[in-house]
Amino acid sequence: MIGLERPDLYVLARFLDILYENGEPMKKTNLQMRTGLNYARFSEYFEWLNSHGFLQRKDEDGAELYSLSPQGVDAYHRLVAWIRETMKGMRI
Amino acid sequence: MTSEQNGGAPEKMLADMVKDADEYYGRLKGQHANQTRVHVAVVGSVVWFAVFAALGLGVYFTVPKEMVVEYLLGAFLGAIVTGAAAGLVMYAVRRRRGFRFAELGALLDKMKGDKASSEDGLRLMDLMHQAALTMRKQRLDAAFEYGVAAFILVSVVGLNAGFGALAGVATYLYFRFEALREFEKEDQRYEASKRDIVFSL
Repeated sequence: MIGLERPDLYVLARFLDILYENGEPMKKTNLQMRTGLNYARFSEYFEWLNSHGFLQRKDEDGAELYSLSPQGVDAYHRLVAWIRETMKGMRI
Repeated sequence: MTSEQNGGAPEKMLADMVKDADEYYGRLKGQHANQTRVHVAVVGSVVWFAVFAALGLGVYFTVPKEMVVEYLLGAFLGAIVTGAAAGLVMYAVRRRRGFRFAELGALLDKMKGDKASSEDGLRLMDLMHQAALTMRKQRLDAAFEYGVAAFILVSVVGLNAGFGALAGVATYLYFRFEALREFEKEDQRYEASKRDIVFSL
């Protein structure tokens, strides 16, 4: 696998944001461009997400398209809910 | 946990987040301004009193009796200027610390204008956490003030500056230790929760 022992939460959030907001399946190249990561870094995160079942692949006209799987959508919901809960618990 | 149990769709949760963070930012600014006023007043008064007491005693014991009033007036004015300068320095220090919240304000403005994303939410959460820690750090100033108060109290009541100094240092170290411990505990808890969420996704 996957050279990621401890993925950066910000980068994971960026992937999930893009895929969730886009809704439609998208090409890997488009995803890479929108994340703003270099190819090596992008591949590590892409593989991490894939190995956790957050991505689903669809082949269309010979092109590989990716979108969030139901687990991916659930992970996005949980991430947002966690941020909300953590913020609620913050005191000055 | 479903999204419904978590408080609704992510879009709504993100919008609520921005609203909550905006209120938090408002409270933060208000609290910072209040603390600044109190600190400036306390530091200015303490410095004024200390300078006036030192100069006044010097005048009383060294200046001929017929010139004491003039010299005391000079000491009084000198103490006011020094106290005001100390207050200004305190104000400048706290204002500089307050600028750390400016990034939070800028991000909030951006998020209010655009559609909020979870990455922005994370950034907002980190900035709120940093702001809360900055406010906690300001308790270190309070530890110093408690130390000075203990020094004055014990020195006056015990008529012994040595015991006063001892009490002042002990009080300062205790409150400093408590402030730092709470600060570190909260930071560690926060970092641990960030680690946990990555692996629980």
